[in-house]
Amino acid sequence: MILPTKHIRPERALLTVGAEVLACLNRPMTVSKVWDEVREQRGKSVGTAPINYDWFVLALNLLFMLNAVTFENGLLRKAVT
Amino acid sequence: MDELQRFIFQIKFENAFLKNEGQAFEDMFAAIMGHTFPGDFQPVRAYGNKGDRKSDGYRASDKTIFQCYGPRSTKLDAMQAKVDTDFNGALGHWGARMERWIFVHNDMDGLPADVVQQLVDLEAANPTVKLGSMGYAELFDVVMSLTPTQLTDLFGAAPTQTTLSQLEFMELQPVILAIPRMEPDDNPPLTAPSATKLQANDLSDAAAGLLRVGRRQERLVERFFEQYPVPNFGEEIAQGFRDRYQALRDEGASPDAVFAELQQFAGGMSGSPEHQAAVLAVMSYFFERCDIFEDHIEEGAAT
Repeated sequence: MILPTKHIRPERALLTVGAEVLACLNRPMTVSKVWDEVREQRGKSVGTAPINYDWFVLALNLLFMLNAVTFENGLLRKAVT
Repeated sequence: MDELQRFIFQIKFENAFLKNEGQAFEDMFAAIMGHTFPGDFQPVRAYGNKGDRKSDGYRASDKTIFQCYGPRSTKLDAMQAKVDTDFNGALGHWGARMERWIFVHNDMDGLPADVVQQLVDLEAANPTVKLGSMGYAELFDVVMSLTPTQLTDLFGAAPTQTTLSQLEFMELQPVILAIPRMEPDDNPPLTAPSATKLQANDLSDAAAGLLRVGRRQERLVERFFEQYPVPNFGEEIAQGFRDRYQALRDEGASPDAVFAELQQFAGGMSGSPEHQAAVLAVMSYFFERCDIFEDHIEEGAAT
């Protein structure tokens, strides 16, 4: 799930979706705003398979576990490294 | 009766034993004994003002009177009074026709010590009659000695492992339904399934032929999983196939039998030609990805 598998292509692996979330997160955003941005970005590239909201949330969980994002006052932001 | 069916009947009996009180408990007991000792056990019912002559059932072969007691909750005083009244009453009504008297109760914890003592004392005072009791454990033994047909009559049908394994893989339904509706591939692969893998798994030419047919639509399955909004759906389905394959292998089924069972699992070879083609496409997809059947490992390959 985190990495691509026989049945999950690289562009849908959680690590890839997590990277897309970080790429969108150039300023603090609400979770729904990030979801909109990620979908929009994915929609631009031809042939990219859709993901559902549950999968997006799993990608957010992964970013939290890696301490890559923080969530304060309803806003998601990139963690300061 | 296989293990699954036995397990289900055990649960059904336990449930019935705990649920039935009073007359319902008596009826359940009579039905069980009627099946266990057909032609020998007679349920005794109350008849007008003559009552039931202090008996709920009579087994002629060993002249046993059964007395049921299934209250909502057990009270010692009431139970002792019941034993006393019913035993002495039966003694008066049945006389020499009674050589054994069994107290049937619904207390899961067994009889209180005072009642056990009471039964011993009553037997000592009446040496011509043997006394005993029947609770959950004794009834359980009786019930589990019955045939599946009798148990079905008593507690309703229970599926066997065979019927369960014949059930289709419901989660796969969206795939099987979607494949025939998808735009066909312009250049379907015409390559045969891997010969070495077929050989390694000892699959027959007929199975290989079916996989070859499936291969023509295999890309549609791949595309379906790639586009499905739940990204790990393919993994979940693959896991279902892996589990089923492993179970069949553990049972020691022959390769072609495993193939046929998996085909059945994927939706079977009945129904429309489109449906059958979709089933074969799914089989081919998981065969090529080694989720089902063993991969061919090259000799000397690094492990």
